[in-house]
Amino acid sequence: MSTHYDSTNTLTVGNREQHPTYPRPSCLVKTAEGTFQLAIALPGVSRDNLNVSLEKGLLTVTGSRASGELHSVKGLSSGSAPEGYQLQTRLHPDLNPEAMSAKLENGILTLVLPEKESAKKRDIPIN
Amino acid sequence: MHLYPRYHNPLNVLSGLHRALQTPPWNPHRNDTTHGVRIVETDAAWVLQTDLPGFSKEDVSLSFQKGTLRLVGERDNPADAFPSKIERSFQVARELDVAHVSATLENGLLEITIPKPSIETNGPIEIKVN
Repeated sequence: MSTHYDSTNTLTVGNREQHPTYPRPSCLVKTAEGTFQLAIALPGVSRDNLNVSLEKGLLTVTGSRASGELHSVKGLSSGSAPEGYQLQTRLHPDLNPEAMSAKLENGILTLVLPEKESAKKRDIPIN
Repeated sequence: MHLYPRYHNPLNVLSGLHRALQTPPWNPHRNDTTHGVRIVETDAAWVLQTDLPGFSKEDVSLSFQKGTLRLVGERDNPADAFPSKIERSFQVARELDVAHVSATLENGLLEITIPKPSIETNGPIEIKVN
């Protein structure tokens, strides 16, 4: 398992194959009632410029920001916006990627992954 | 010696902003990209950009009074734990065309467009001596 959570509930990712220029977006995880929710902040990324893929258990979220004709005024701005974001993470084997749903709203991508049936708690009857 | 009006230089026009930019609106220790205000420009306008992931148009209000542009935003009961409040004030030069300031909020990116004053800068200006 390459994904774990630190005390601030921030997703920490073990995979290092990042996009060469895209920084990792800030993201937050929440687990509730057998589902795993991953909220990823992707400000400035439109649906058309967002790609979510899953290959061999590796989830990749790539979004690019369209900057258009705007250019930075030097000396004033507190840094420029990144050209885009990329997050790569391995999914826990207990999660069911087939049932993953994604929603992009106001610059936040929310991925919801339910737990696999086989991972849910079950009581074993004793004969 | 330069006798240009202050607003010939965008750095002067937005000088009040420079101070504002030194202080991030949210927790400065959080290592993410949702802080701060950036200033970018086009030929016709300066554009203030700030990332407000999770905020909708209804959550944000912008007002202008006595040379101060005020941005207030609050979203109720967010499903995520990203910042839910923002309050920033910017001092802008009074010479700016505040009547035509416009703003858009799309995909969590707020852009405030301040048109540049139209000043004839081509060629020397003859000044009559009486």
